Parts: sequence; C-alpha cells; structure tokens
Amino acid sequence: MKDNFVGAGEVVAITLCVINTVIVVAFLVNIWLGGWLAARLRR
Amino acid sequence: MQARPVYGDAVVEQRRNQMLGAAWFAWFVNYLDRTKTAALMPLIAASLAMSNQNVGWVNFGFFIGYACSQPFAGFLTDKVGPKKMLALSVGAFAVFTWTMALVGSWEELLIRNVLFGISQGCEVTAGSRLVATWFPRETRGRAFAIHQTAYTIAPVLVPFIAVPLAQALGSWRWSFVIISLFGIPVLAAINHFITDRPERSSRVSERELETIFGEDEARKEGKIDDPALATSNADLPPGERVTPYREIFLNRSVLLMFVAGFFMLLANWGLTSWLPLYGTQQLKLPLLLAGTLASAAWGGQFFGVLSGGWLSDKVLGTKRTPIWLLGGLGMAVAMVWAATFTRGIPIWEAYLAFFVAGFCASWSPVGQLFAPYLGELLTPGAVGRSLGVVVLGGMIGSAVAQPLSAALIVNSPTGPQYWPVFVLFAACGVIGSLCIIGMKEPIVGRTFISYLLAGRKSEATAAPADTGTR
Repeated sequence: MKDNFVGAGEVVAITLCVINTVIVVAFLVNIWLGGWLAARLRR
Repeated sequence: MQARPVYGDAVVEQRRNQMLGAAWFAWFVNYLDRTKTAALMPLIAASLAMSNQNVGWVNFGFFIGYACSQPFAGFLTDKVGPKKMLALSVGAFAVFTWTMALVGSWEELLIRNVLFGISQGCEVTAGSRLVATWFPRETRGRAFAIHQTAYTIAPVLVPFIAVPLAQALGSWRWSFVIISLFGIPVLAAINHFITDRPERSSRVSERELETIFGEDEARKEGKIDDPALATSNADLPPGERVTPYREIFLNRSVLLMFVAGFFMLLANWGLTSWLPLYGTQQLKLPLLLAGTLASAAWGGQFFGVLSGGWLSDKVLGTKRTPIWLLGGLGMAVAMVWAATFTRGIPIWEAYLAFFVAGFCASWSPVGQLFAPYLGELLTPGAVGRSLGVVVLGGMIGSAVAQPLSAALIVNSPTGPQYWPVFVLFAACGVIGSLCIIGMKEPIVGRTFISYLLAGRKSEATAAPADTGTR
C-alpha cells in the first residue's frame, strides 16, 4: 500500500494533533491541580 | 465531616464500579495503542524500508522503555497518587502516539517507541493500586479480573480498527493520528470518575464506604498517606497498615514474584508474538489462519482472567497463589503438547492447545490477581512500589523473549521447527510455579503448600494484611 500522507492530508493531521495536545494538556493541568481549571471555567 | 450522598445497591450506582469502568477504559486504550504498532508493522516496515532486524529493535525498544519506567512509576504512584499518574500516562502516550506518525526513519521510530513505552509503563501500577484501594477483600479478585479483561480484548479488536483505518485513508500514519485521539475520552473519564481514595470522594455514600472498609475502619481519619512513613495504623487512612520500606523491598514473596513474573511473562509474550510466524513457517497455514492462532491464545486469556478472579474469591476464600501455581503447570503441559505438533495437524487441535496455553498464561502473577495479592500481603498504599518491582521482572522477560525465541528456532530441511521454543516456554511455566510455591498466602499467613500440609491451618500469628477490610 502506498504511504499517502502528504499535502492537505498532512496539514489536517497535524492540526488534529495540535488540538489533541491542547485538550490533553488542559485535562492534565486540571487533574494535577485538583480541579483548578474546571473551577476557573465555571466561575 | 462532609455530607455524603445516598443511593441504592444497584451495581452501576456504586462509585467503586464507576471508578473500575474508567480504569478499565484507560487500560483498554493503553493496550489498543501498544498493539496497533504490531498490527501495522508490515505497512510501517515497507514505508520506512525496515529490515526484520530493525523491526526487532523497534519492538525491543518498547519493552525496555516500559521496563525502565516501572520502579519510578510505582514510586510516583504511591507518592503523588494513582489518579495523577494514570492521567499523566494516558496524556503522554496519546501525544507520543501521534509523534510516531511523523517519523521519517526507523531510528526515529525506535527512539519514539522507547518514549512511548516509558509513558505506557506508568499506567499499570496506578490502575492496580486503585483497584486494591477501592474494593473490599472479598470482591477484589473479581474486580481486578474485570480490569484485566481489557488487555485481552484490545489485541483481538486492534486489527479491525488500525488496519481498516490505514487502508481507508491511504497511510498507516493516519491510524496513529486517529488512535491518539482516543486519549481524550479516557482523560475525561479519569477526570470525572476517579479519586485516589474512596473516603476522599464526596460522591461515595456512607453505606458504600462501610462496604469497602467495614464499619469501624471507615471512620478512620488518618492524615499520613504513606504507609512507609506512618508509625501507627491510626495515622493512616482507612484500609491501610504501617508497612516500612524493608517490608516492601526485602520481602521474600515480592522477590519470588519478580522472578516468577520474569519467566511467566517471557513465555506469555514470547508465545503471542511468535505464534503467527510459527503458523506460517512450521504448520504452513495461510497468513490469516496463522494470525488466528494468536487470537485463540488471547481468547484463552480472556476466559482465564475472569475464571481465575472468580475462583480465587468464591471458591478459594480469597487465596491468590493457588491460581498462579496451577497456571504455571498448565502452561507447561500446553507447551509440551504444542511441541509435538507437525505440519498437517488438525487446526482445532492447535486452537485448543493455544487456547489452553493462553488461559494458563493469564493465571500468572503478572496476568491477574497481582493487585489484590500485593494489597493483602503489604497494604494497598504500597501496591505501586511493590508492583513496580514485579512488573520490571516481567517486562525484562518480555524483552528477552524476542531474541531468545528467535535463537532457538531450528532450521530443518522441511523448514523452521519451533519445538525448542515451546520447550523453553514449558520450562518457564515450571520455574514460575516453583517460585510461587515459596510465596506467602496473605490470608493464611504461610505458603499455600505449608497450609495444606498443616491440615488447612492458618499461621497463628498471621493477621490479614489489609486490616480495614472485612
């Protein structure tokens, strides 16, 4: 099978990865700071 | 004192079961993520022009990263708490998964697979400690069995998720990108459903707390979290007892569990990794049929973990070591049987042998019941540190299994012969069982064999380790 991961496909993939990482980091900050982020957002 | 909610006895209403569901989900995605690399390896190898030797190094890198992380992961689990470590592990492997999609050479893949292994390795100690802390002794074996079904289901499902994604989207890299997104719902579940200890969750009812710890113990309000630092049981939270470092690390049963883990995981991972190749090379089966031999072993493991947990809790009165003892011996019998197979053997016989082998391989100190056992031998608050030692042994065995199995395959005029590999796995099962004979059975305070020889009498001085549970 051809490794078809170039051009627009790669841009979409990297965008997804960046969004994924931002959400993951937000969850980690919230869990490690004991719900601090969730409390700030509720305020 | 905080006001606690009131709810019924329904299974889904119990907070500990909701916690178990979230931990199961995390463990399932962990295995989905790690086994996808093997499922996609033919495509990755072609794309990066990798030789078989390169593939071996990449696989080895994962196991070494995983093994190296164990002592630190176990220590941190006990120090910062299982929820934070579970979240850190899931978050880290979700990110490392997508970084692996962007590699340009096999060397890059190797380095990122080592990092991926380190991040994945931080999960097992956290998930195990949660189950040991949240469940009462009588149901701990079954609860942990349910947790462990995740590792048997994910490898069966992964070819139907990772490969179709790669085929539909035109690259193996898309499978990595999309599977990395699975970390988000897992983190949401951890965030919502998991708390380090039941008495610290405002969503646990008084009634459930009493079910977990017993009436008196549930009222304990100890302020020192680390059982190695406390001077009396009253200083500790419910369900914990003072357990100094020397009791954790200079413990005969923990050290024997380390050795048994090495041999039994060597046999387990060696078997499941090499079965497809064995099927094509020695039994001359078509590729698809050869692949299903591994599925038979994983299917055996599924039924093995469930039956082992149930038998330990309900039939053996929460004794854990007899299950492992039988598992090692059963593994040896199944492997000797498999060593006799030649080309033309009925396929049902091969399926049966590898189903039995998988079933027995799951009855091992690194397959099931290890969280209940360590929680009862020591205390739930020391499960992270002690399990870090045990899993380290198991993962070194898994890493060694790959080159050792390859070196034992005999080349004959009719093609490669695997019987020496199966004899090795049989010997591993026997050595594992011999180690388990010397391990203490917490509920009777002595080894299981000496308990039987003494006419089923418990050691007089022994008290159940987890004083808090009923």
